[in-house]
Amino acid sequence: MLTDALAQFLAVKRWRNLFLAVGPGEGDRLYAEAIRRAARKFGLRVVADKPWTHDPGAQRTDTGHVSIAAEAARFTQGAPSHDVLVVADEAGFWGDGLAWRTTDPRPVAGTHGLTPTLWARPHELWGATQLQRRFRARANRWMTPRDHAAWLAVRAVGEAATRARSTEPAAVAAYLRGSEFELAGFKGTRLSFRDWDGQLRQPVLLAGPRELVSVSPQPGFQHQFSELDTLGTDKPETRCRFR
Amino acid sequence: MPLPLTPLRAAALALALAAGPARAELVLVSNEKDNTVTALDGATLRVLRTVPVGERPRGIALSRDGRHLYVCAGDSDRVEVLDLETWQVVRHLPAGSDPELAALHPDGRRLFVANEDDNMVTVVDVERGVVLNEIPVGVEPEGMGISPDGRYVVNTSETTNMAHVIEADTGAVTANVLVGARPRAAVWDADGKRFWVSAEIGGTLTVVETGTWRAAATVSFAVPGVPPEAIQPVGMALSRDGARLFVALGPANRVAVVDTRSLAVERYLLVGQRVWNLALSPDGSRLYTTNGVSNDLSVIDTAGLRVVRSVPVGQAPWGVVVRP
Amino acid sequence: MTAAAYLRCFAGIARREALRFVHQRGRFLSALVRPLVWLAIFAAGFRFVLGVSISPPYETYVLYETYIAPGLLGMILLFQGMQSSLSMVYDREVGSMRVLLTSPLPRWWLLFSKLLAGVLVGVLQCYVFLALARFWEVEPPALGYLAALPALVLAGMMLGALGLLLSSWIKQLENFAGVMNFVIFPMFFASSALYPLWRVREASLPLYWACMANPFTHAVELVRFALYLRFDPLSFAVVSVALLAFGALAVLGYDPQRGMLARRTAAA
Repeated sequence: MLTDALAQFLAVKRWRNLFLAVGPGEGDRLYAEAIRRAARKFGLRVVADKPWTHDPGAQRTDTGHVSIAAEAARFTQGAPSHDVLVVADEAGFWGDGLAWRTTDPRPVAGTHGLTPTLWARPHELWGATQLQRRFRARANRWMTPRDHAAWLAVRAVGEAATRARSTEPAAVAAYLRGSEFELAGFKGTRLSFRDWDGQLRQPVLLAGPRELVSVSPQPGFQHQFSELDTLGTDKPETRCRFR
Repeated sequence: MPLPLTPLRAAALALALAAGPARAELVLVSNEKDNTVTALDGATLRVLRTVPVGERPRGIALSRDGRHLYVCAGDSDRVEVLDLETWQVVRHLPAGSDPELAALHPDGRRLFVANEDDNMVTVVDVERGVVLNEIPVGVEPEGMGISPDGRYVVNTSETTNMAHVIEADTGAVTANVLVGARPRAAVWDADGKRFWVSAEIGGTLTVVETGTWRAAATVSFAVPGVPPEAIQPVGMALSRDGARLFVALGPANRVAVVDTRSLAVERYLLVGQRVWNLALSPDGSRLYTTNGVSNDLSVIDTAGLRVVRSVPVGQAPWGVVVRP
Repeated sequence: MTAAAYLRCFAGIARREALRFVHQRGRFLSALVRPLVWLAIFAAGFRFVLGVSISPPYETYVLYETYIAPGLLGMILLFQGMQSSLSMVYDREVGSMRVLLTSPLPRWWLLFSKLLAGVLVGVLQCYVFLALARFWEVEPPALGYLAALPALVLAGMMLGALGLLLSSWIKQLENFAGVMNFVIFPMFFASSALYPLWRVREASLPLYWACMANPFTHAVELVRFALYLRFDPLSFAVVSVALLAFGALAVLGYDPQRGMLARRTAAA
């Protein structure tokens, strides 16, 4: 869903040729696979697909910046012509080191740079300012995507219980999965659960560290039932089966 | 470059605005991002002046004599009193933290303010400038509708999804009515027998009966080609005769016209982007809409049900009131 | 030669044009159905449901149907202009054009009469279309209908002159398909008829300049502005200059001594 959101944005920008840099971790491998899938889905091309093997080590001390700069330039040198460098570095070991250090001047996206995420510090649209403030007042820190997901989960149960007028788990669960269910989550639209895999359908933010750049689904991607279903695994393609 | 064909154009304008007598009414708009209030001449739609006010001005309300404008400056944590003759902020009212919206009681003295941040409704005496009462309500209180007889105040809380019916005199909460998701505005019928609540995320209106405080009916909207998620009812205004309710539909960029008797939607009128709040001209002939994303104000001819013009105001226009 | 003779000549040609039009009901219907299909089907399927943002001459946001109405008026005039040219080719082939051109009146008057007669038929179609378009909430100000008349005539004359010019080049009837491909479609699609130019500009700058250089864009804009009681001097200038240029070339083209007609006859 995250990588689909990024791919939609790149498709709208017509930045079609991707250089994919993949870290060594299992998460990185899966993220890269999701990027490749999203690229196929939205008509982008992965023109270069390279594993990042350099261990940055003491990147931030003394002259560490010199070695990462040299490595980043080497890594991107001679790559086929591309529009954007997509980084898959879930642990955040080296992804930050690529921006500004590539051989060709190219923007960085993926786990670093322009990042698709479910919640971001610069998100202030649709009353999100209120939630950000309330969270900060209580927790003394910024809300992370995980915090927001937890908040949404609790709120979803609360919402289902008030609407179903019941605290019976079965009744609440049934309402949660029902077609009536709708959740306000400071994302500018009503959120609900997909009946094929139980995933929450919600807009995905595309943000830099200090700026919200865009929100997917991008205008123009249409869907027969819900534009939110242009992100993630849709009903016809799911292999998920409830038992 | 386009030039106006002056006589013809003047004739067309006269035709378009002929629905009401060309009285000089003053249209006041709060601009959330600019920290200003824009004043426009209702007849020409020219901007007369732009007045700096406190930070994040949203809800605005006129004093009973029309001399002052109460401006909720949320980020400045106060309600400012703007003198509409000298165009100066003459006073601040204590109004609790982050006031978003205010409604003046028919007695002209008590201002009911929704404090978005700390889940309160604050009652302020506008003459003495003191807080009379603080009423705890649901999370993120916003909409504020006072019954015509002044007995009840309805407050909606965006995150609790309820309309709270409050006794104006005691501050006691009489009823909590569960409505659609993220309720925004509350408007009473002129006879006080029912009130309407718009639900932004739910995409519906709920009609609540006075006394039983039951959700008696709901109104849904559908615009061909517009995704249902984009239909987000927010501000509302009743026509002068009460036969029609105008409902701003947010990012659907339309104002819905609802027949208040049959609850059927008569028509959708295209206005600017993310239409937010509505205000009727005193003679009822025109409806002004603030369009938060396109930064303009649209004018609707309420007799012909057509959008006459849209004119730019400040950044993120939010509230609108009209002074005769 | 008296003014009466000129007028009689014009009346004759106009009658002939009108009769041709009336007799071909199919043509009238198709001329009307074509823009209505666009209005009813294309506009509904097209993604501008959230309104076309304010651009002159509109004073507020408009629905897509309202936006393309002037473009479809342009389409009517464009097709009418080309149909007229087709009829010229036909006339020439069966010989009635040659008879007409041997009349003692000056050739430019004959061509002008032919042109104006065609345009009047086109303008009539335009008003029928505008009346039907009210069902799609295309409701310009009442005076706009009147103000649009000179704009429609001027735009129609320009497109008709282009048709005449083309007809002097076309050798045979069959070449009308070529006109469709190489003139009507590019002119119609690379213009402001279907999408506002700011939108084109966002997509591609060269395409934007192509649209700006297209006289059809200016014909549509002239009509669009007039319909909303405004006057666009740039469009007026471009349409007028194009009319004079196409008209002069058409007169030259029909000169039996010098033009293409002579060359063709000689070749035959």
